[in-house]
Parts: sequence; C-alpha cells; structure tokens
Amino acid sequence: MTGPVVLLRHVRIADLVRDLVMLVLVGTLGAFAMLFSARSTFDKVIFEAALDYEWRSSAPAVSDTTGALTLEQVSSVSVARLSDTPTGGSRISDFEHSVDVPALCYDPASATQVNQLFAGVLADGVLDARGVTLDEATAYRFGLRVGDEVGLAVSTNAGLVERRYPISALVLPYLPPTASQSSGLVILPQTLFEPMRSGAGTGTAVTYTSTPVPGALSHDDAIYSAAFGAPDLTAFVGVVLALGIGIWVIGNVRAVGELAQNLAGCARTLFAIGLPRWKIRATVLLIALGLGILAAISAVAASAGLVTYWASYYIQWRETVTVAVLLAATSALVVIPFSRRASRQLEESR
Amino acid sequence: MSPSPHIDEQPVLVLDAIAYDYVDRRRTVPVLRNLSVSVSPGERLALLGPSGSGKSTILDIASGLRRPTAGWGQLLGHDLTSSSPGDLANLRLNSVARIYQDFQLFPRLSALDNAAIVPRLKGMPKKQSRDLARDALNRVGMAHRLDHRPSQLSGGEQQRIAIARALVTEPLLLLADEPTGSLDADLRDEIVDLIIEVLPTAAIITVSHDPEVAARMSRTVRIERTA
Ligand SMILES: Nc1ncnc2c1ncn2[C@@H]1O[C@H](COP(=O)(O)OP(=O)(O)OP(=O)(O)O)[C@@H](O)[C@H]1O
Ligand SMILES: [Mg+2]
Repeated sequence: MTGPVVLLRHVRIADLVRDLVMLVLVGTLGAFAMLFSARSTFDKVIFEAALDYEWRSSAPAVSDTTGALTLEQVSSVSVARLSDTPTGGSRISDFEHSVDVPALCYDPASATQVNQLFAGVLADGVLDARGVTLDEATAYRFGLRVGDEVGLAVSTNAGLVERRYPISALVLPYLPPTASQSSGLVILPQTLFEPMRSGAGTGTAVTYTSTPVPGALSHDDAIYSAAFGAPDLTAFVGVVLALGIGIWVIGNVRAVGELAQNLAGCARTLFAIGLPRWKIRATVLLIALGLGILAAISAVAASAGLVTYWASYYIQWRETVTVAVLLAATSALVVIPFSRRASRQLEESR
Repeated sequence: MSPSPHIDEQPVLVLDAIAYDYVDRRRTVPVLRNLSVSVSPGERLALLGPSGSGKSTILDIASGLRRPTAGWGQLLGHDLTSSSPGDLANLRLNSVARIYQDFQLFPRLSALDNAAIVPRLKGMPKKQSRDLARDALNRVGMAHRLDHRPSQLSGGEQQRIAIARALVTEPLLLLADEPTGSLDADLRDEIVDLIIEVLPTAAIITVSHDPEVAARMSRTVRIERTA
C-alpha cells in the first residue's frame, strides 16, 4: 500500500492536469470526427451527396386502405419539460416554456407497422405502448433524451388536461403530409392519448402505407453505409477515423512518456529498496489508465455536446459509449506495453 | 531476534569470479573482471579503488539490482544469478540496507518520512515507523529537521537522512557508498562510530576514498580499473 502512495505523492499534479487537458482537447477532436461521421448528414454537409437518412420528405399517404396504417392526427398538443414548472407544480400552464405541436396517435396493435413507417427517421429508441415519441428538434429545444419524462397537455371543453409520459423514441424533424408548416411532432399510442381526450373531439384520420419514408435508411443502415457503403465516403470516413484515433494515440504516448519520466527516479529508488516491480508497474499503469479513461470520457462528453450544440444532432447513448470505449481501449493499448517496458528498465538501472 | 548459529557461519555475501559489462545498443563498457569476495556476518569490508573502477556497480550486483555478466554470486543463501527479481526485491527489503552515493532520497517526502520508508514498505504502522525514524534521525543529529524536504537541506544533512534510513532497518548487510563523503572530519568519525554501534552484527561493505574510514573496517579489498 505505502509504495504506491509514495509514487502517487511524486506525481506532479500540475503536469497531470496539463496532460489531461491536452488529452481531452485531442480526444474531443477525435471523438467529434467519429460522432459526426456516425450521422450520415455528414455526407450532406461535406459532399452534398446521397445518403438518405436525413431525408425529410413525408410518408406516403394512400387512399386505398387495405393493408394500410391509419394514424389519427390531432392538432396542437402542448409539450413542455417538467422541470420547467416553477414549483415542481402540476399544470402545464404554469410552465415557463411549452410549444404546441401536431400529434399523431396510433393503435398499439399496429406498433410493428408504425415502427416500420418511422424506421428511416428514427434517431433513437423504439415506438412502444409505454411512452411517447418526440421529434429531434423539440427534444433538443427542451434538452430531453430518450428515457426522460415529458409533460403533454391538451385543451378540452373541460379545461386543460395534462399528463406526463416517458419518452420512448425520437424521430428526425419530419412533417406528416397533412401538417401545416408548424414544426415539431409528438407521436403517441392511443392508449396514452385517450385519458387526455375527454371532450377534445376526434382528430383527422390519415392513412399511410406502412413502408418507410421513401429512400430512407434506418439509423444503423445509415452508419453502416457511411462506413462501408459508398467507396468515396468509406475512404473519407476511414481517413477521419484514422486521424481521430491517430492524434489520440500520439497524445497518449506523450502523456504516458511524461508520466513515466516524472516517476522514474522515485520508482527506481523504491525498487532498489525492495518494492516489488509489479506493484510499481501496477501503480503507474493505474495512474496512466485513469488518466486515459478520464480523458476519453470527458472528450466524448465534450464532443457529443459540441455535435449537439453545433448541429443540433441527437447522439445516442450507445454511440457516445461506443466512442468512449474505443478511445479508452486505444489508450489502454498504448499504456500497457509502455508500462511493461518501463518496469523492465527498473532492474537494469540504478 | 538473533540469527541462528547455522546462518551465522554462512557468508552473507559471496561473489565468485564476477564480471560485469555495461551493454547498450551502441557499445559495451567492460567494468569488472574476475572479482571474488566473500563477506561473513559481522565482518566490515572497505572497498577501495579509483573513480570509475566499478565500486558502485559491485554494490548493485551484491544487492541483486544487476545480474553479473559472468561468474556466480550468493546473497544470504539466494543465488544472485538465477533468483527471480521479486525474490531479490524481497531480500533487499528485509535484509539489505544501502546508503547511496547520491543519497536517492524521495524529494516529495519529509526527512522523517524518508527515514521511515523501509519499515512502512514492510507494513509497519505509520506511527511506529516514524518513531523508529525519529530515533535514527536523532542519532545522526537531524532531530531539528524532521519536517524539511531534501531540497531544503544541505548535502551533509541529506547524507545523514540517507544514513538514518539505512540504520532504522537492522539489516544483515549494509552497503555504504561513500557514506561520509559530504561530512566534516568530526561528524565523519561520529557517524562511523554510530554505524558500528547500531549494527554490531551486520556485515558492512563501505566504499570510501577516505583512509580514516577504511581504517575502521576489519578488512580492505582494492579493485583496479578495467582497461
Ligand atoms: N549505465 C551505464 N552505462 C555505461 N557505463 C556505465 C554505466 N554506469 C556506469 N558506467 C561505467 O562503469 C564504470 C564503473 O562505474 P561505477 O559507478 O561503478 O564506478 P565507481 O567505482 O563507483 O566510481 P566512483 O568512485 O566515481 O563513484 C564507470 O567507468 C562508468 O562510466
Ligand atoms: Mg560510485
């Protein structure tokens, strides 16, 4: 126990902080490249070319109702973030911010077709009977993520009726065919809308084919296609990823080298006194890994924030986690062999 | 704790026909050739030789920090050529003390914690370790500097911290590399007396250019520079 503590006391905090800041900057760049390229709009920005994930055309409405999917469109449901209530109070009219958006209701029995219909514009989650689905822009406006609770309110003859529901999915900005220019959308199963309906009257029935928005790719398909689909894009994404990982690796090598240099004298003396080499190695390894992991997490959080802020893209948790794990694993790949080499040198030097 | 008579009879350190070369990618520096020496418990050996002749290197080999290029050695019954690094580290921690030529103090630790490091590494509680260290520092005349870091001390004061660190551990073998090089003549005599008094049964190898220090040892080994 004491040996590692002595080593820790010889870490220069200022150096460590400087290395951490540098790693976070470098990692933010790398993670930004990766997270951004995970969104296929990337290619639109860069290439003005053809991934259709971000296609914002409307779903095809059909007149022939056989085998079709009918949704009910209700105009004007108020959406608000619950924490906006000044007193944690209950009424949406108390909310400082709310927006009125058109709502689509579906029969929970047709959940499969509904998911098919929205597959191409689904940013995260699954449309299910337990929760509501918002469009990405509305979610961004209120800082909401899948899993959060949202407040909905409908004005009825009997006054304002409101409910709070979990968000089960997000869709990209998308206009149903009959919607006016009003932005935003909430999609919810009839079972959740029913308690709010009392006296609100019925909406308009809109019938769709249950096939996805024309030309749309699902989120995963879009990422796959960005990574492996079009040769030009694949090469470009590959270069971006390699650059991202490359600067991350260089940053890590530098930070670990600095750390090892910092601790070399103290480590040699401890080894000469009789602290086993593995304890020295484990301590240096833990410090370096801790630094790498902390930097990876901060970097990914920063770049996810940057992507969201700059492009108002919704980044899924699994994307954030994947990139963080990738960075942390790369960091470990750098650190482990390095610490082994450093500990071997202990024996040969005074 | 007195060593059993059987161990008493065994030499603490045996070096037999040792050779050592410093090897790196570009060159080989031959340092030691055909060095043989044996040290028994309680024996005090003065190691003399010109600068660069390999005295510090011998102490590295004797404590298992370097493996000889050729020859054979034994430290407290453990083979210096074939024992594992972990084994040798354990041996150093428990039975060997060294006063480094360049002190090798921990710059971020106080004088007290520097002197307390060996018992701490052995797992002794902090308070007890510090009591031992305080006592040793007291004996080398450093009781008034317990809270200071090495950089705040003079060369001779740092050397006395290094000596205190070696004395707290009651080693079976003390390797002292120029232990009084930074001290004045009076202090030198006091410190040599102190070392002998505190470690009456330990084997001691002292490297020194000082004939007065060498005279206090029981035996002298002189090494020559390898051409
Ligand atoms: N890491 C190294 N690589 C190459 N040569 C080395 C290395 N360390 C020491 N030497 C050489 O080995 C020789 C012996 O060094 P050592 O430190 O053992 O000498 P010494 O007898 O203790 O000298 P001094 O009395 O000056 O302390 C010297 O010539 C030195 O230059
Ligand atoms: Mg020397």
